[in-house]
Amino acid sequence: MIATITDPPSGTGRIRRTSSLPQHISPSAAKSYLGCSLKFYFERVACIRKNTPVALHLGKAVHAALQVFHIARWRGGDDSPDAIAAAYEKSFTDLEAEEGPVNFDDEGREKARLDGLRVVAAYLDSPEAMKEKPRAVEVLLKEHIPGLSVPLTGAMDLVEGNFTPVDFKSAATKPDPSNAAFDHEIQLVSYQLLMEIATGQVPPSLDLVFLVKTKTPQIIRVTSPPADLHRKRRVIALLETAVQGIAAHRYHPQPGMQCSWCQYKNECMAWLPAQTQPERRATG
Amino acid sequence: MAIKMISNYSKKLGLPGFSSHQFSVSVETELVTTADIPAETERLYRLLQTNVDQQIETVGFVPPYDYGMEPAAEAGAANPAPNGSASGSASASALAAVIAAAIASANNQGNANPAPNGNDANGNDASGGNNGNGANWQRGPAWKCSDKQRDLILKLVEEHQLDKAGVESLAIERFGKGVRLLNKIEASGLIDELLDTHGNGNSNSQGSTRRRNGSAYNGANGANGANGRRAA
Repeated sequence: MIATITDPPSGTGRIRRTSSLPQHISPSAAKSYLGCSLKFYFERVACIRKNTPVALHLGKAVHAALQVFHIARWRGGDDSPDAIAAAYEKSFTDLEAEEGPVNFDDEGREKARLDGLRVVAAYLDSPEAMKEKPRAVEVLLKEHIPGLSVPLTGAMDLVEGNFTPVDFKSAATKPDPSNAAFDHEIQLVSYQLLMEIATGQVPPSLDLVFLVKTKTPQIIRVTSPPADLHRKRRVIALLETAVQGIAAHRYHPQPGMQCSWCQYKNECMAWLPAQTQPERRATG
Repeated sequence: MAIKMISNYSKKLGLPGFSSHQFSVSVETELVTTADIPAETERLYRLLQTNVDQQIETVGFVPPYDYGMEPAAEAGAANPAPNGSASGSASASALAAVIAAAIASANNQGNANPAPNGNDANGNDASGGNNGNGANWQRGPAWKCSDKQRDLILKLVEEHQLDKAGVESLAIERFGKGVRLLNKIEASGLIDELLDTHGNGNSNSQGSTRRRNGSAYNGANGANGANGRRAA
């Protein structure tokens, strides 16, 4: 069965509707919208829930465990591997209960659970594991950025002592360092924009730490320099493009390779522009 | 006959951890006539004040909460290290240790400035509230965090009757600076910890480690509710 939506996402942005700006824009929402505006609609506007993909479930549980580790480091709490493993197990179970079923296949749950545990252990054992006190953990920021119609929000996984924002990415394969910063440009530069306003200083670098779920998990840090004015303007323009698209109800399919694994194929196939503009009807 | 005019501008500001710093600048000038005094006074006052203000913004060394004490032994004996305990209680223990140390520090200075409310034998505030020994957040440099964060910190302190000196010491322990000097990121961390320790489980950290995609975008299409729907 396909969920019914009272106001179908059939807009192409050409239809005159009351424009309503979103309350704010986050880097992940902007990336999602720019990737496929119709998928964004199904996920974040219509809120059609689907079973959680295993990789997403695993990533969230690993993130939660790392967060507990960093907070313990920060506040002098229990950061022993046993405590962090327990936090991971709890999160893995709680997430299933709170966010709905996960797409596990037979025996997939146990494999996923152990994969995540190995990744957490690899991080704790790696040189990347936080040795000093962090500056902040899982910090939510919301700031007005010149050039953006709505506030920018962002949740940073970790801010190191020297104000370097760090984002953790769980990945199935080793990242290509030369592309990683570009792939995550919206997120990294958004963090820089938020940090600059929140602290008044430019972060020394923008870092990604990849938690690679290979048989022997690998922890790989990719460091990129802070964005110059051009990159910042480029990212602000991308964010604003998403804001204006959302405000104009511009949601339409964007066919591409990503459709192969999209969970909203059925809903997407039902899509049609609801109306055409009056002037087009008149001339057409 | 030349007239000698001596001008001095001095400023003393409070700092976290019961400390303060002071800076003054003096100059000597010669005037031709006493009629020049008003204009010269105005000029020098502005000049000296501007320069003193510029320099005094540099805070320099601020003593930590246990400065001059034997903190490790004392605090450790009274409040065992939280290792091995659950994260939530570890936070509470750490906070309690910091607050206890701050109160002890305040009591050490109590000979010079007796506390108006008095403390009990354990160094606890007998009134249960701020006893005047705490950090004075009414004075000092401007708050660096957002207005909302400042209001939330003050609200937490008031609602839970927290000792300001304890919160001040916690900020110094975590960030190396007092509450008023915390930027937005640091203030966010302090608020999280205060909520974890004293709040009702609304914090975004230990209590609930997960983010959720908000419904900030539902408003962009008014006909659709925020409730999640499941497609079979």
